[in-house]
Amino acid sequence: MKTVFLLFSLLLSNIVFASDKGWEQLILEKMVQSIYAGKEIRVYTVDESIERTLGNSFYINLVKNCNQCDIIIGENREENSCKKPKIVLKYRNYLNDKSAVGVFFWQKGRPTIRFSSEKLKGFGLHINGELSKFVTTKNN
Amino acid sequence: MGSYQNLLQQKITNLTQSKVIQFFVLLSIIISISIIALSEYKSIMQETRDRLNSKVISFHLETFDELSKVFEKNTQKNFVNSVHDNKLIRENFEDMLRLLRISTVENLFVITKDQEGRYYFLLDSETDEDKRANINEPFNPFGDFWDKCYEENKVQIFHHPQDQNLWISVSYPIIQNNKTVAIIGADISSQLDLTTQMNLKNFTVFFLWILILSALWFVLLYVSALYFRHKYHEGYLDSLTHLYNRKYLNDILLKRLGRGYQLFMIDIDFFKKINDTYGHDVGDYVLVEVANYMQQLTREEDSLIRYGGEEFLIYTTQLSSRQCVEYANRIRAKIENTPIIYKDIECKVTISIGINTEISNLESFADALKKADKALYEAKSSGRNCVKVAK
Repeated sequence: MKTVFLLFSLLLSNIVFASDKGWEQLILEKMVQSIYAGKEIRVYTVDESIERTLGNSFYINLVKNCNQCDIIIGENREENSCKKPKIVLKYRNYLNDKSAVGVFFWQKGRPTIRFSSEKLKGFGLHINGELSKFVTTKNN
Repeated sequence: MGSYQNLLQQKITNLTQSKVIQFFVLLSIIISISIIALSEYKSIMQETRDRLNSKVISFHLETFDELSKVFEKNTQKNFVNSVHDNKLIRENFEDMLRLLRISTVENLFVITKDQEGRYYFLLDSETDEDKRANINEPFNPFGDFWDKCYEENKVQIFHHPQDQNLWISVSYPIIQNNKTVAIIGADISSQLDLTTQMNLKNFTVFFLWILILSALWFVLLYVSALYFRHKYHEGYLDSLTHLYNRKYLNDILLKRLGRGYQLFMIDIDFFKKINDTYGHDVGDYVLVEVANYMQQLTREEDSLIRYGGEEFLIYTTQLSSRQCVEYANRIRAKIENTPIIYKDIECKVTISIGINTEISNLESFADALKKADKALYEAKSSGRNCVKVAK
């Protein structure tokens, strides 16, 4: 039922947003909300495209300092000094980056999400709600 | 009450004879036929489109069927492990996928499901490294048709919502030991459906032209019918007085004579004198005016005919002899008491009327007319401006 609801909400939002950017904003919001439920989420990113995507988000507060954030979104080498969980946008980086707790990318025109239970555990985090079905214990 | 009903009936008759009403009725008929034809055409086109599309899909399915057989044959009953463990097999299979990936197939890949129920890629026909899904990369199954394919060991087809790049997704099961072990997934581009639609569009243009031409032909036919009717009626009218002419009498009236009818022969007194004194313009004007006055006093069902020169004929029915005389006298008095003024010339015109009121069924029209004419002659002989009944 929840899956159906998620699918429905995704499709509905597709009509509303009618673009990949709209999808991305919605999915990234869902992902960070499922990690940090019920609080204002501070996100750090150096990716201008992500900044534009999440710039008008109601739930996400973009911060300039990596140390002040709850989570990092996007790939960037400069963030290595700041030990925060990360959602990456490339599957290869998700496999290689130990702080990449989740990944969101487009594959064959389909938005694809994965969370690593092991990496989440390393940060003392877990996934709540609908997206828990995307948590995997495997390394891939 | 009766006269009210007659009036109402007359009004309805006038209304239905109105050209504007007739035109709108015709227009409504054309629009209704067009709507019915269009909706019928649309459903036929949709059926044709579906049939063409299902042909295309079945063509793809035949290919996938062959492919799955090759996969099964070359992996000694353990497809997933063979693909996982043997890079050479993987590369060979991916080459096969690439060969089969025609331009309308957006994505062609093979996925499998792990014990946790998550899908991941085994093979991908894509060569572009940025777009390619490597082995074990997660696959996000939108919709439940992938699961259905797994559970039912049957091919599943999913139609994507309109206005999306993808038209349909096909999931074809690779079965080993009566169990689906992997799925061949194909995303068929909406370009294919658009091509079908584009080709069918030519028929739509053709059909619309046929419809427009038919409507125009229909309107043309209606206008021609109106014109013909107008010309037909014009042929039976006297060009000066616009009363019926002798042709009408011979062609129409004689064919529908009633059982009992009465004839009035009417002649304008001293008409030659008017012509000689004031000229033919005045003479013509007098004829028109006299015709108008007579028409005002005749009933709808009576026929008023310009018989020739200054002679007129009234064909009437269902009147007694007394009623005929009263009727004729009304007309005579009206003409007598209404001076005809043409420019500065005032003419006092009178008419003489001969009536034949007792026409038997055995009597021919010519004989009946002769009797009325004889009565008219009597009226003329008796000093004119009077009514005489034939004996």
